[in-house]
Amino acid sequence: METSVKFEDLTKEFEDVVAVDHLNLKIEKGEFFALLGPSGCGKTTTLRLIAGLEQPTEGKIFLNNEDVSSYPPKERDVAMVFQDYALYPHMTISENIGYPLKVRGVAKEDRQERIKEAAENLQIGELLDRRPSQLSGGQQQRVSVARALVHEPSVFLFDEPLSNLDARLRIEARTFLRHLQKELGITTIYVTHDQSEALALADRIAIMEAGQARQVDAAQKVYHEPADTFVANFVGSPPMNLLQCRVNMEGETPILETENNTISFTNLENRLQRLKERDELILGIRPEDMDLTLNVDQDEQLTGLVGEIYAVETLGAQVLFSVKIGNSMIRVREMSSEKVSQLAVGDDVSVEINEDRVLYYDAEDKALIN
Amino acid sequence: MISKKTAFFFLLPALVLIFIFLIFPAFWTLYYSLTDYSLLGASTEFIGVQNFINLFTSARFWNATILSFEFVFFSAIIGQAGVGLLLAMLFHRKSGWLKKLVRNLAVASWLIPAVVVAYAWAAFLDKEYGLLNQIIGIFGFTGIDWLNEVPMGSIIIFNIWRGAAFSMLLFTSALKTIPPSHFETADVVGASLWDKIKDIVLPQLKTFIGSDLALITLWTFNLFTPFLLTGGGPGRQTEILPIYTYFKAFKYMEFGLGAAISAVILFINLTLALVYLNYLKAE
Ligand SMILES: Nc1ncnc2c1ncn2[C@@H]1O[C@H](COP(=O)(O)OP(=O)(O)OP(=O)(O)O)[C@@H](O)[C@H]1O
Ligand SMILES: [Mg+2]
Repeated sequence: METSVKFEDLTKEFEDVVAVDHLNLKIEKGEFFALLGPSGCGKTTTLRLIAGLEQPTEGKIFLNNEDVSSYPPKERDVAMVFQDYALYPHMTISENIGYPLKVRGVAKEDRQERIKEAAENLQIGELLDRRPSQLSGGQQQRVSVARALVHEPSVFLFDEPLSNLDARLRIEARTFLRHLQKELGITTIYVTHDQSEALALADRIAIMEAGQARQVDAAQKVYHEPADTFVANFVGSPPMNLLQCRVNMEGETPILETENNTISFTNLENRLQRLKERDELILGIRPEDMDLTLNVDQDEQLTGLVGEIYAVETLGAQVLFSVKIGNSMIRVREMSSEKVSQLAVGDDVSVEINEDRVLYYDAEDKALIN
Repeated sequence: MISKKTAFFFLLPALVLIFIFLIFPAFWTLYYSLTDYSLLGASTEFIGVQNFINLFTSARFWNATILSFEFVFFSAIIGQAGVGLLLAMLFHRKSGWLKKLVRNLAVASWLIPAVVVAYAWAAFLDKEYGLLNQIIGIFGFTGIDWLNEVPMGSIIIFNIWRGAAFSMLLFTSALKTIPPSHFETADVVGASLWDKIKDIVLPQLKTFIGSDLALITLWTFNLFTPFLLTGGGPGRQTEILPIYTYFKAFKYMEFGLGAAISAVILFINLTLALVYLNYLKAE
């Protein structure tokens, strides 16, 4: 695969913050790449560095294997779509889409043709004579994408382009963008703080925190094997449960002691080879990898995780239970069913864990243990 | 809700002031323009439009009118507004000491009393001792007598320097009403400074530019300070309308005629103001 975008130790400092901190990344040609992270982690700054709207304090940016770190924006052959769409209110849709061509001195007839083509690609062909204020948010969003693709850049940069749309339109626009990107095959870097958007759209995702990439992997992998507890906590909705526990040996059998429960996993012995040296662990368990059973007999001495249902939320086909165990809260997602509908707030329940799906994190450096 | 009556009551002091200082003198001027009022002559008599007939048949009046329009066009519309917009654009979205320095200098140039500025400029442009000629001398050129050889150019530059600050400050604030992403989109596609002015700033700041032009046009039209630099000369090369009025009214004591010139200036100002207001309303 050919490399389209590459960072080497890319760093950007503002007066008192390090917005991007020695970032190293490689993005392949034609890839849909998402930068995902909480507010203020440096996503927009990274994008602006690629576009040339900011100058790096340190490090290099390569586009198509050429060091463009010192190039002005126009020599980088990128196109950027902003969160507010940045459409010019006094120009028609046609003029807006054609603006990059006009600035580059493309002849008028040629321009008209390419405007039409771009507009058709985005299914806004019949809006060309209107002004931006006469368009809905979703249509404006498409116009801004049309303007970005009209001069066939080698890289597309998107900064939260869907965040001004309502939930339904957002999903529609998402599907459309994904389809369009695959069809055109233009390398795309997409900034978002919405993890479901990143998972849905991107081939690969970089999860950022404080200017650094915590994990760079395929969407599937980021979801199923978060590299550290930060990623685990950020990706997935609701996020993964993280349980602090201590490893105790009962003879040959390892027992995991949480705050006020003990868990024994049948296959823990196999894993223990890797866990042995540690006596503190963090367990990562996705809400869908657990099951609840009602404790009918109050007096029975139970092992495993026991707690009390704190809240019940319906998520369509599924139900989300928050279970209070000691001082911590565990979220369990169940398919709604006869059995589940009998569980109510205040019930005492046991939480069963699908052992095979449990992830183990080092309590010290919070990294995944494999 | 405040009733209309109460609202009027609150406006009353302002209305009284406007009447005393603006409307009353205007009518006073109009009245005198129809008389032969003079400090030299005998009794004042009503002479109808005779003053205006004298004016419109006088080459000196037409010279002054044309000079006034030239002065307004080059020093205010092109100069102050143009330089102000350019400076505002150059420093837009930037920070740093240079921006602060230019801004402070611009504000200072605007705050210093006009008389002081005029004398400073006279000194700056002086043939023998002026700083400008000294600087030119360093580069091996011989300086010229600016105020005598390019008098109109001198007072135009003077007025640009004097007033660009106002336009710059106005445009600096106005530019902040345009979302930064509009400029950044243009940057990414490779638009030049001129492209950005033409395609983004001018169309989106029409109303600000209209207001700015209205204000500076009227100010410049009524500006008397160039008199301190050139005295209207040499000859009549810089005798713009306010200076012409001054000569007629206060040097030759022909108050009636002076009032007639003032009435003409007032008429031109009102017309310009109406044109601008109409334009702004259309936006
Ligand atoms: N021009 C600037 N001057 C000073 N600090 C800045 C500037 N731009 C960004 N920062 C800081 O850099 C950090 C990263 O900002 P950035 O805009 O890249 O975050 P982000 O990940 O895009 O966040 P969000 O999701 O809120 O858009 C923040 O702490 C921000 O305050
Ligand atoms: Mg951002």
